[in-house]
Amino acid sequence: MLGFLFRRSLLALFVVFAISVITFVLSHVAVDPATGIAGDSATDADLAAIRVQYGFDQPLMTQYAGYLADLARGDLGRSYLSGEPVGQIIAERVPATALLACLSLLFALGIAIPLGVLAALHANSWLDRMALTLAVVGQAVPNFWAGLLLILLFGIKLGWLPISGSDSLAHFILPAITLGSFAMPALMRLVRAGMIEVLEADYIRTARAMGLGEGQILFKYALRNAVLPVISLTAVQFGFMLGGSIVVESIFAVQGVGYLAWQSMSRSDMPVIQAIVLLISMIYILLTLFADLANAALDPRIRSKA
Amino acid sequence: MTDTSPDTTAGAPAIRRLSVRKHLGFMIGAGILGAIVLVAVFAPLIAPHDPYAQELALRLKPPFWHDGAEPGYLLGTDALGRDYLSRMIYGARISVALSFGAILISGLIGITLGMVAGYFGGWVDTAISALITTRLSLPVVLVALAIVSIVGGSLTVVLLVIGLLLWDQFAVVARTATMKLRNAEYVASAQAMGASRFHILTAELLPNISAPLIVVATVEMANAVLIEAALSFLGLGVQAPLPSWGLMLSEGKNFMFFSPWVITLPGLCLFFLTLSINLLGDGLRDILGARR
Amino acid sequence: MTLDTTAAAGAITVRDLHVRIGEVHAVRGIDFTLSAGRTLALVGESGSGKSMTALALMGLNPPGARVTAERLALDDGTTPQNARGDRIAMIFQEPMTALNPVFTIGDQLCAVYRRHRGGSMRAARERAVELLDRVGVPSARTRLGQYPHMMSGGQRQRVLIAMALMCEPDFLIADEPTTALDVTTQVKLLDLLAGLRDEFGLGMLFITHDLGVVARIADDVAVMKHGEIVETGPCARVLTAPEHSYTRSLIDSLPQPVPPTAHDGAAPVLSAHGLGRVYPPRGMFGGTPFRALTDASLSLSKGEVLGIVGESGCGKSTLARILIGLDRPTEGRVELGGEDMRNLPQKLRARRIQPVFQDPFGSLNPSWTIRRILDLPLRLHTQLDTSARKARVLELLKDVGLPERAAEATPRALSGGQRQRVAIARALAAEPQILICDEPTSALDVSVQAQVLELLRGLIRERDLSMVFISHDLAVVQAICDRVIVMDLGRIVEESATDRLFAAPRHARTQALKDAVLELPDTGTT
Repeated sequence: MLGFLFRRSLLALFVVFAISVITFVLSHVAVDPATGIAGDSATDADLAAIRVQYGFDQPLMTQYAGYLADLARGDLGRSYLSGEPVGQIIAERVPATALLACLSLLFALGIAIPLGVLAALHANSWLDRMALTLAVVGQAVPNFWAGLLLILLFGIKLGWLPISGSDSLAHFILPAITLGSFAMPALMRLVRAGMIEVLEADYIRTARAMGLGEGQILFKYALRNAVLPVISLTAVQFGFMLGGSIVVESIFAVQGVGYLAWQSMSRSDMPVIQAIVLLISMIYILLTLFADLANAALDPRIRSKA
Repeated sequence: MTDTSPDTTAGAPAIRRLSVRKHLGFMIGAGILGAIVLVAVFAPLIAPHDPYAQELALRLKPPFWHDGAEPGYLLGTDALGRDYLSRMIYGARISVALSFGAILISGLIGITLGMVAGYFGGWVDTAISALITTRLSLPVVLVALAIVSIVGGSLTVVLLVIGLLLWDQFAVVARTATMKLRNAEYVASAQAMGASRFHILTAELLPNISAPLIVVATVEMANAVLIEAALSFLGLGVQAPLPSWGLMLSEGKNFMFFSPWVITLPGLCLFFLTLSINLLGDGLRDILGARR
Repeated sequence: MTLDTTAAAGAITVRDLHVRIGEVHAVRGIDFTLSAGRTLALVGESGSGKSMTALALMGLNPPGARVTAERLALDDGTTPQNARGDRIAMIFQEPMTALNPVFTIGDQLCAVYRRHRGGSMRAARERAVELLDRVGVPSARTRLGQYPHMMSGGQRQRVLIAMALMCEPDFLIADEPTTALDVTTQVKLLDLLAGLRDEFGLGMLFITHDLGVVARIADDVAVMKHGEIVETGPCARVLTAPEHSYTRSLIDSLPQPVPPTAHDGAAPVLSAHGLGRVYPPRGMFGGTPFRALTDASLSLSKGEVLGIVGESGCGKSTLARILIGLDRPTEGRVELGGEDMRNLPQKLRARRIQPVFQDPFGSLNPSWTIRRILDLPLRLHTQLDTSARKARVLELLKDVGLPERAAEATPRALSGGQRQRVAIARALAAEPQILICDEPTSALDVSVQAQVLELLRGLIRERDLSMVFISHDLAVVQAICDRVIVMDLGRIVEESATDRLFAAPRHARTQALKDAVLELPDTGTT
């Protein structure tokens, strides 16, 4: 178990390092940071001065080392536009995105697990077909379009829900449905497929041969095994939702990290963009790490490996 | 002493090869996708108007089933008075070309990396797996947007960016499938026969892992369509005046309260294209007996 | 045909049982009675319907199967479904997958007891410890907290037997319970089951394909073929004086010892000197290196068949992979006709030595036709042009007793025995001097095994081939090998001519393997 934890953490560390290289390239190599700081109207002399002042004239390796050192201190740089520390700008936006992502996940899992289990138990029934159709259709709807349609229906036609901003919990309902319905189909199909596979396993046949009750077989013996892959996918989908929040937040004007990313992109505010990429990647890495640990805790086979 | 008995030996994999024609989902998916590809290929012949021609006098005309529809403009016009039907027809070209192009790039990268990792194992596998994990940790839409915002949006840039980002599932699936078959006895036989590694990878292994990879290809194709649309929708993808469906949604959203068709119609196009690719993929999964 | 209905304390009576799966009529109207205290063996080859019968008896049919019977019940009319786990229990072939991987042994055993008998967890655990002790699982009490993957296959099968006995059933249905286990473990389990039957007065239905197993454990036997019982009667009578031709052919198919030929003095075509193989620890940190093979030396003369026997994990497959050149030894060397194999280019080695593997389903590329499979070695190792290669493929097929039309088939369309013939033809295509066969008949039915052994014997004679024959089955080894090497824990522990090895085994492992050979009662007819 310790060996597993160690190896898994080492991999996570490598990935963090690789991502930091990518974000460094985005913010220091692909664009000229001096132009970003000085603005378009700056003269060549201004630019040269800024390059010396910020160390952009140093070799790339030296700059990267400085970048890493700043990251380690929690210094993500300053916005080109407002000059405020990037960490502070993002921190203000995190709560809205966190709330949105959690609500979306609740919505997705709340539908995916019961529906997936029911579909597996009644494979090839009308219920199963309906669930599969829902999944296929759900997967095919572009989420920004779904968002616009929800705005038209619930916001304009019916007038039930607010469509823009993030002032109250009600503001989050439509965005959460939009984002959650994007993650739901994959989860539902995995629950269904996992459950069907487990129900065909030899040990379920053993349990039947020993005359165990159907309820015990389904909810204790089978579900416990079927849920293992779902944990990993949930972590992955949560990461996708954070990435996808940029689209949904920009539609509903939710004042979260995604909206910030979009605003920063239209203004070429590179320090903010690279910090958001870094942040979301880190969260993804942590989530998958936790999922692996949760799987290890639930599956004795993984636990005793190494 | 010849035994010509039918195959009743224990463990014979009872592969139920569904007939293609009997799979309803596959047929529907193939039908819609085929139609969209045809429309894309023959767009200049089908489109009733020039998709770029602006007729400012005919702005935001509704489709034919509404009052006030303009004869000759079957699905109405957009805010610049361009024929909506023609723009949607040309939009199919962008989505189709982009999705096929992107999976060609990503498939080549992903399958090569995955098979090499799965076959050679050891430190090669460790390195490629770390690369795959790194790629998985990057938020695709965000990174694609960032790159496009730096390099500038154009069809080629969007195609390259998406192609270079969507190889992860190809690699994951190719790696697992190759690992599973690496120790198969027919691979060992080929090795013992002195066949080259290239022969083993391309002739012995690739045909036998192709079923799940074809399924991945459909999933990623649908993904590519949706990502292009999302980028264009956010204004950082294909640039105006190209008639990308995502861009049309973006242009239309300011007018959707009074002219809802400007967003429902291109959205429906995206929906049907993605749906048909997904149906095709699910159908192939059943028909080829591939499990992801 | 029905069995004597011994009107004992209890019985399960089966009359006119049919099982249909889709178009397939898997079981076609069979009758038998399973009586308390006796063992009825249901024997047949794969596809005979014997496992379907067992599942029908438990009401555990696969989805889509339709079961009909005039009578299928216990004496008091209870149907098996309602007596499952309580009065009738079942054990299966695959102990590795038959236990739930995420729950402890104790939890799984106790769940069965409490389901049928209720009571406290403590009482259930006491019962579990008692039974684990009885079925020979050491340190039973600590085992309760362990998970299935921590135990060996034999141990897991014992746990399953204990689970089946938790509620003192009257009947036990055993579906090939020892087939997946090592031969020495198999005998121990058979003796355990026989002891339990006598102790608890169990009525046991024992499904098997192995007549040796039948002889060891059964009182009565029913022979199944194509879903019907073709012969039934007391075990001793059926095995010594079979009435039905199918039963007779099954008995005749059992491998018969052939007198070995001595090949002393001739220069070896293949020799190994002090081979060792150590696998580095898995993962980047910690772990200990695994030693699979230690100081293995052997030599093979022209025309000789050398057997290598041992149980799983004894190192015989590692040795085979090194001899074929699929793996490199970490110590010692292999010489091919006096040349060090390391100095031999891959292609030259392949021209002299070729393998035949165990699994007829895994050894042929499923995407290719038989023609293409046989064409590859010809393309790699001969200068023949396309049409000459085409003709050569047909010759090869003829050599291994397959019809020409097999060339256009894919492996999926062939039976296990036919695929193994193709694998042999492929090995012969490069005209090697040496064949390395790793359990080439273990996955085959006994009648097909006899045919493949006959084919191999013929090819060796005609082509003056040398062969290394790896097997876990001493009876098969006796039927083909001139000399035998016995392996245990990665070392060669004994080597001698086949007849001498069987007459006077010197090493304890050889003795154990010999004791594990299940023989039929002597009939004098074969």
